[in-house]
Parts: sequence; structure tokens; C-alpha cells
Amino acid sequence: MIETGLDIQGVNKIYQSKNGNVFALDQINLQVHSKEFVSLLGTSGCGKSTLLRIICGLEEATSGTIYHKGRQLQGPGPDRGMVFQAYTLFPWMTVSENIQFGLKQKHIAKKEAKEIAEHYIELVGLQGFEGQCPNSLSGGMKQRVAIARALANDPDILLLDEPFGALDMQTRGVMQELLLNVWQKSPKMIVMVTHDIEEAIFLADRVAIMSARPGRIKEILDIAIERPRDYRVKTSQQFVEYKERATEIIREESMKLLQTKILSA
Amino acid sequence: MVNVNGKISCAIQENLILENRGKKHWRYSLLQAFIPMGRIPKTYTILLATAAFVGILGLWFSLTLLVGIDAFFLPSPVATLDAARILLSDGEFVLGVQMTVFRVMMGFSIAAAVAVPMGLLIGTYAPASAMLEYVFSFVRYLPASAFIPLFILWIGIDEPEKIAVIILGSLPQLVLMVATNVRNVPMSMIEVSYTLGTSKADVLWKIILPKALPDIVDSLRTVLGWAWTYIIVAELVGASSGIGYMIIQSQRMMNTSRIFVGILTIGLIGMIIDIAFKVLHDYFFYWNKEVR
Ligand SMILES: Nc1ncnc2c1ncn2[C@@H]1O[C@H](COP(=O)(O)OP(=O)(O)OP(=O)(O)O)[C@@H](O)[C@H]1O
Ligand SMILES: [Mg+2]
Repeated sequence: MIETGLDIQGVNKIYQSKNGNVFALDQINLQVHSKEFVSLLGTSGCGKSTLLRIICGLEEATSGTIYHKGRQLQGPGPDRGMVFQAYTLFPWMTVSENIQFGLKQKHIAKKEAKEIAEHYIELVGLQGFEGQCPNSLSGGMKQRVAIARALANDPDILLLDEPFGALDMQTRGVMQELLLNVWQKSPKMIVMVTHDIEEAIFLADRVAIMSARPGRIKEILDIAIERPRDYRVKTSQQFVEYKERATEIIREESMKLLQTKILSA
Repeated sequence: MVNVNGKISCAIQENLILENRGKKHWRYSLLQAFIPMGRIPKTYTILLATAAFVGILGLWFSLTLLVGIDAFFLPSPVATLDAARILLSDGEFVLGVQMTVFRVMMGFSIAAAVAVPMGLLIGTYAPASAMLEYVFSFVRYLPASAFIPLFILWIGIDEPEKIAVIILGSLPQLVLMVATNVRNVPMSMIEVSYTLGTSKADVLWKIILPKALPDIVDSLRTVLGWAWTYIIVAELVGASSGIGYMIIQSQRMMNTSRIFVGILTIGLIGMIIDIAFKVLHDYFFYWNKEVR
């Protein structure tokens, strides 16, 4: 067991539903160091969200344990921030109040909370929107607020579940750079789910590729691309090689899935 | 909950968006403004609403004055207006209206004060739902008006009886509607609040209530409308004041135009309440509009 980071040991998850059991996760073992950026990559339905939700404590593992800083995790807490794929801002609060929400739960003084919020608003480039309500923001702006809200709470671990899934290519690219920028300024452990291969490689120190159902960690790629990175590395030889490798593994999995479907049909 | 600066800038922004939408639609003719879920400028709204009332009034005029339906069955607008003038000059009717409004507000306030917390609990906590939901489903179908004779037997014909009818008629409905409103709060919003340090005990106040509040207020508005029908029924039986009482007296005197005045008064009050709710909604829950 590692004493500093996150240690996932033998996590299984079986969902019981009306149409029988769904074997979602199979023996997940993964260690993530503090301040490390790990991407989770895999085909749709392979259990990425499930794993993230288990780390977050929103879902219970059927078996297996997760340790953080040597302590077993149980239930959700402010030490693990999460940004969901769906928009989850509190619509009755302004942008600034949303970002201050977690600080308020910690009873941090108003003035300090406001300053922290201002800092993160600046970090995600939303100056001038502090007083607006979320429903009047664009999708990308909403996700930036959600990220700022999670960060302002200063969690040890930031869990991101396809945070840019709903955004167009250009906005996505900008958001990725922004996330890297933010992460470099206040480094912390990030586990990010995505099914965009480029995104996974561009951002992460390591890319964990999952197999199709039941979800297993099939391979972990160490991304040795130098930091700081910007969009130009996406066209570098090194990047393209990683991309090819990851694409190959995922393709195998997708083919397997297709074949089992054809066989069972 | 919302700081003043935030509120103002939000409201201004909302107005700008609405105005822009309005302007866009302004270029269309009235017929082209039939866009699903579209908005129209205020001027259109006022115009169309007035037109509807003028239409009803016109129909009423032509039925009574042109077609010549017997005034005993359908009094003309003029006769109704006359009856209204006489009724208003006599203080008793005004007092009766006040009485009715008081009863409705009293009964409805009590019902709401009990039903909203109960609905919150039932919608939030499965054990509360298991225990109470079926009870309220059952009670909801007990006809409140059929309880009038029982209530008279139990508590007499004074104010408590009228108020009891309203409570019975509106409380169970409201409980179940509030519970539904609560269940519409997205789970992800609750989950994200946990990851920001909110405790399970606080989620009800910090997330569920504020998020569901606009819908709860809508439910209150709907059920208040029903409360009005119950009070009139209650006043038709064993009352000595109120709009319903005036209506039943007028029936005995075969004064149809007075009955009309009574009915129209209720309609008017109801409309004012509805508009007040709408204004409050727009003021407090501006944030709830999905702009996109
Ligand atoms: N609450 C649930 N009850 C039953 N089955 C579930 C539940 N949640 C997820 N599953 C199943 O578990 C499997 C993994 O789901 P999960 O949401 O983790 O996939 P995912 O990798 O995040 O997919 P996507 O990329 O499409 O978001 C799926 O087969 C899904 O049907
Ligand atoms: Mg998912």
C-alpha cells in the first residue's frame, strides 16, 4: 500500500438490475500518486463512470477497497472533488456563489471565500461573469465554473467525468489547455474519464485503458511528453505514436465487443 | 442567498435576453409568432388577453341582447353590472367577500404550513414516503365536500368547519405535489453537493429546498385555486356569510344576476392571485428559466 496517493485494490462492481446482473468492474487495481494526472480511456459502457463514482464514494464497490493516504475511503467527502458530465451548477446561485459553496460548508470567512472565488474565476477566465446565474452561461462556461467550484474547495483529488464531452472541438481544445494551466498552477491528483484518445494523451501523465465489459484495466501507457504542453504537441511524432498505440488497444476491445455480439446473435 | 449585485445583473441580463427574443419575434406577424414554446412581446400578450375577454363579453352581449335569452336564465352584462353596483353599495357583500377570502387564506395557509414540510420529507426520505405516501393517496380521494355534513356534526357551522373543509381538500393534494416537486431535483446536484462537503442532513435545506422551491410555489398556486372551489361549496351549506352564502341566498330570491356577480367576483379574485403569483415567480425565480 502506498502512503501518499490513491490506491485502488481489487475493486469489483456488480449492478443488480431487473434484467439480471451487470458485471461492470472486474478486479480493478490502480495506484495514482498525489499530483499525478491520470486519464481513464475506454469504450462506452466499460465502467469508467462507475469507477470514478466509486472513488468519489457515491457508489459502493461490491468488493475491494480504496485507500487514500493510507486510509480506507468510505462515502463522499470534500477531499475528492468531482465534475460531472451533466451540468450540475446550482442555478439559484450566481457564478461566484457557486464557487464559494464548498468554502461556505467549511465555514471559511466570507471575505476570504470571496477572494478565493475571485482567484479561481480569474484562473478559468470568467472575470465579469461573477454575478450571473448559471442558466445564462454557455456549456463551456458552465463547465469552467464547475471546475473552478471543485478546485476552490481545494480537494486532494479532482475527479473529472468527461467534463468536456458536450463541447465542440475548438472549445474542447481551449478547455484542455486551460485545465493543464490550472493544474500546473495548483497541482493535485486528477483522474479524468474521457473517450477522446487525443484528450487523454494530451493531458495525462499516464493513460489507463480499460477493456470492454466487464471493465478491467487492460494497459497503462506512460506518457513521456515533456511539460508544459500546448496544442502543438498533438502533431508531434511522439504524440502520434501514443495515439496509434491507444487506438489499437481500444479497437481490439471494440472488435471483441462486436464479435461477442455477433456470436450471441 | 443571492447577493444584491448578482440579482440585479442576473435580472438585467434575463431582461435583455427576453427583449431580444421579443424583438426578433416582433418582426413576425401574429400568426408567425406561433413558435413552439416561443415568447412574444408584452404588447402582444396584453392585446391577446384583452381580445379574449372582449370576445367573451361580446358573446355574452349578443346572447342576451341580440338572441334575447330570458334574463332569468342569463342576465345581460348591464343587468349584472347593475346588480354589482347595488351589492357593492350595501356593505354586506363586501364583508362577505372579505369573509370568504379570509377563510380561504386561513385554511390554505394552515394546509401549506403542514403540507410543504411533509412533502419535503416524503420526497426526500424513502421511509417517510413508505409511511405516509399511501395514506395521503387515500385521503386525497376522500371527497372534501362530502365531509361537510360530518364536519358540521363534529365542529359546528362556524369558521373552523369551513377552514377544515379547505384543509381536507388541499392538504393531501399539496403534500403529494410537493413530494413530486422534490423528486424532480436532479440526483447529480445532490451528489455534487456531497463532494463539496455538504452533510446528508444539510442537503434538504441547502440543495433540495432551493432547487424545488419554484415548483413548490407553482403547486401552491394550483392548489390555492382548488381551495377556492371548496370554500364556495362549504359556504353553500350552513353558512351565514361569504360569497357562497350570497349565491345561495340569491338562488332563493331567484336573482340570477346576483349569482353572476358572485361567480365573476371569484373569477376576478382568482385572476388577481394568479397574476400576483406570476409576478412573484418572475421576481424571485428568474434564475430558473432555461435560457438555452
Ligand atoms: N445504476 C446502474 N444500474 C445498473 N447498471 C448500471 C448502473 N450504472 C451503470 N450500469 C451499467 O454498468 C456498465 C458501466 O457503466 P458506466 O456508466 O460506468 O459506463 P461508462 O464507461 O462510463 O460509459 P460511457 O462512456 O458511455 O459514459 C454499463 O453496462 C451500465 O449499463
Ligand atoms: Mg460515463
